[in-house]
Amino acid sequence: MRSAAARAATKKACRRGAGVGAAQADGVHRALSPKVRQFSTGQRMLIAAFLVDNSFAFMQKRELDRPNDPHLIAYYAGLTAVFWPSWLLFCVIGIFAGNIVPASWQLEFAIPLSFIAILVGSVRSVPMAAAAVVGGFASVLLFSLPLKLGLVVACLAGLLAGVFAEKGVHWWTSHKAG
Amino acid sequence: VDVTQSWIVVLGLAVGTFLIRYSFIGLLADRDMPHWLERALKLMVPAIFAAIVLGGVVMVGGQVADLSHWPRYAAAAAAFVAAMASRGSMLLTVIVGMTALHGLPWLLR
Repeated sequence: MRSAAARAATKKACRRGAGVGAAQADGVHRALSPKVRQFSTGQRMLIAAFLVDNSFAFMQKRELDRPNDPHLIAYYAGLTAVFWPSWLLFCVIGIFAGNIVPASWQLEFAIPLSFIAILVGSVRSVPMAAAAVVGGFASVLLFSLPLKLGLVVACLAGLLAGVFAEKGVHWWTSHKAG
Repeated sequence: VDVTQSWIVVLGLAVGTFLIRYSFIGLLADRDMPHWLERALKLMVPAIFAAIVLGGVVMVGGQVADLSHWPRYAAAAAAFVAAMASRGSMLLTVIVGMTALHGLPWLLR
């Protein structure tokens, strides 16, 4: 293995890979599913293979801003043409620059910061906020679980909180109306 | 960790993450998802991102960061405000957060 920085990066990627991957695939799936139906297996594989965090975030925003956009696939292709090569390029730069940039710069802190932007953009209702709050705190409480299971369990806890919050909101609105 | 082992990890990650992504796009797109699953997955996005954010801000070396790490908390709060104000602008959020992380201790030194 090349360096401590590279190893840390791989570990980080492993840790968040599963959860984010699923959330991402779901987000893009929800945005694309009516359009994806017309595509072959090979074309779908291409869509899945070139999916990165950034295009996921943009697809999500696009779907919320312009529902039923008929050119969504073209939008995705355009995003991918820019994001995927730059993702790769800056990963490589990061692996090498990781040995040069001093640790005191705490550049790795930019990762959770960038996710704050996605998080704020993705919360659009009270149940979603409940899912975020519970998921966030659970991930800290459960951090010591082996195999990074904490993240998975925290996600489930957040999900559950969101479902309960939905029920609560539903009860509240029907109660006020009645 | 030798070179072969590294490549096995890399290939495993490549196949694994691809399968997770493809499972939704490739296999589920043809059928309508049950309503409850779709609702639950919609909640999963904020839950997982919040879990990553809080884990990344609060945990340092496997421990909850104590008050000596206050710039982390201050920077995250500043980034949160920037994200709210800019309706989720990633560039602005990161710039404000990193500036706060290094700028606040420098101002108060």
